[in-house]
Amino acid sequence: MFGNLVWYSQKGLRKTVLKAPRNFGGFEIASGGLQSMWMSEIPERSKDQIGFAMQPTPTYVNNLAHTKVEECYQCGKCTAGCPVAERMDLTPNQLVRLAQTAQFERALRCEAIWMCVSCQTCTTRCPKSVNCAGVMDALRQCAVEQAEDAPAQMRTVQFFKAFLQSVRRNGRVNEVEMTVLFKSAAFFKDLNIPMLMKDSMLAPKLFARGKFHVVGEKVRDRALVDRIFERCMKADLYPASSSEGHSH
Amino acid sequence: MMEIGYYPGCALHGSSNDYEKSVQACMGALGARLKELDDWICCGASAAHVINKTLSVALPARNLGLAERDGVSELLAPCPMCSMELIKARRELVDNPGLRQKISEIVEIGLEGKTDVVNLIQVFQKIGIETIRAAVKMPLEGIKAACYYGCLLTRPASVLQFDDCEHPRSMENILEVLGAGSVDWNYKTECCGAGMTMANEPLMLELSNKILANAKAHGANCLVVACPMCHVNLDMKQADVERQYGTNYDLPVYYLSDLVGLALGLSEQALGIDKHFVVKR
Repeated sequence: MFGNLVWYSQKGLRKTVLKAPRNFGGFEIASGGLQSMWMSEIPERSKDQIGFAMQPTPTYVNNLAHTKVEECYQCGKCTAGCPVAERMDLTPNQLVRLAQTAQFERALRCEAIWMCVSCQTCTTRCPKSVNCAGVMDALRQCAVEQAEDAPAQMRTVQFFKAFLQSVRRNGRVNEVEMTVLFKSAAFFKDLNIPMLMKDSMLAPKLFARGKFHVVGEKVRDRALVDRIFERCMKADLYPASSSEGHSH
Repeated sequence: MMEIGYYPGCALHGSSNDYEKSVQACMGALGARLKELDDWICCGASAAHVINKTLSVALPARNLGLAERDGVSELLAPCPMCSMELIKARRELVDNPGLRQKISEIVEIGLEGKTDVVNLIQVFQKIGIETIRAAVKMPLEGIKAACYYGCLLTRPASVLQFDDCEHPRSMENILEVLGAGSVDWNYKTECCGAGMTMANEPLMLELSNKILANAKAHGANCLVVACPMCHVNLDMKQADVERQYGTNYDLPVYYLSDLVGLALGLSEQALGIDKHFVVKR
């Protein structure tokens, strides 16, 4: 039923950006203003696009996010409130639209899903209770394996991976270990020395405040933590078919 | 004496240990005892829900199971990232018995989802605003705070059901009984970008700059937070924000428990305020 409604992908449609003044009579507008792009066409990406690990379906996204993407009527409120929409190549409402219409190839290779700060504003404000932040999570999970090689999002993906690696090893995050894991993994990919050294001057300041713990805490039952990770990597608790049909 | 379960989370046992010090000192002064969950594990925080949905439920679920096993009916998680993940996981377990059974097998502990998870503000509310008012020894004069709630104290609203998600007032109400003033401002629930501090610093600097600028423009002389990640961004990174944007905010950032503790007569050292980066002049 959505086939005729894919208005944003029509070639030749002029890009229209509604831009609100940042300052109304001394009152600054909170958040990303109205610079959303719900009137615009979705921009094409360059040739060096990343692939994706898993071909999701709208039902799979719904099951992961406990939502109904088909409910979205493109009011754009998610994008209007998003603090990072201005920087995104696809806006939140466009991503929900792509999930609705099963256009996952574009949704999974965009940079926007890796800009999302998971602030939950979109989900909270959606008049149709679409869990937009949950949709972002669902898309990221499907895209994560390939995204780590794309320069624009490599660091973001490496950070999340280093974080979980540290949790798996210790049961808790060891900030120093996580930082080393993250920085070395990122450096291995882009050989960027300034980024590697960045924030190294924070260490003595943290140390002086008793906030720098080279030896972090470890839980006693680390084998259990490893088993939990192992099982979660294999488990398929959110099936790709058959909708659960309940929303948050 | 009131006793409450305590889930510190990694941040409070890491670089945000000043927050733990502050919470512990404050609870002690108010006659509440925190009972730390034995062998708790990380809740997965900002990373698990991005990479693996099952893991993002299983990690907090393990901790909910530990709390149930130890007969903890109320669990304080002073970090909103932790409390949100714990509450979200509990909601999934309660809503879906089939999932609960499978997660229970994954995390090797029985799960009923009967532990209430609360944030720091809620614990102060449980102790009682009037009790706190009666315990104030040194009213906080001269403070004009911008109360900053950030994202996860109130969002997602349908899951957390705490305060007004667009215009929360719970911290201002506590400040009032401490004798401290607060300002009306626009950014109290906007995101500071904490989840991206390491991965995407320019983004985080931009978001934090907007918050600091707005607080300053509305006449605040400090910020009050109840989140370790907001504190890192707004306090530790404040100098970076100032350098990036050529500004000078000079805004101390207090945890809510810092101000409660100060009003109760505790010292800055006892509350860990001396470990902050931006100091009051």
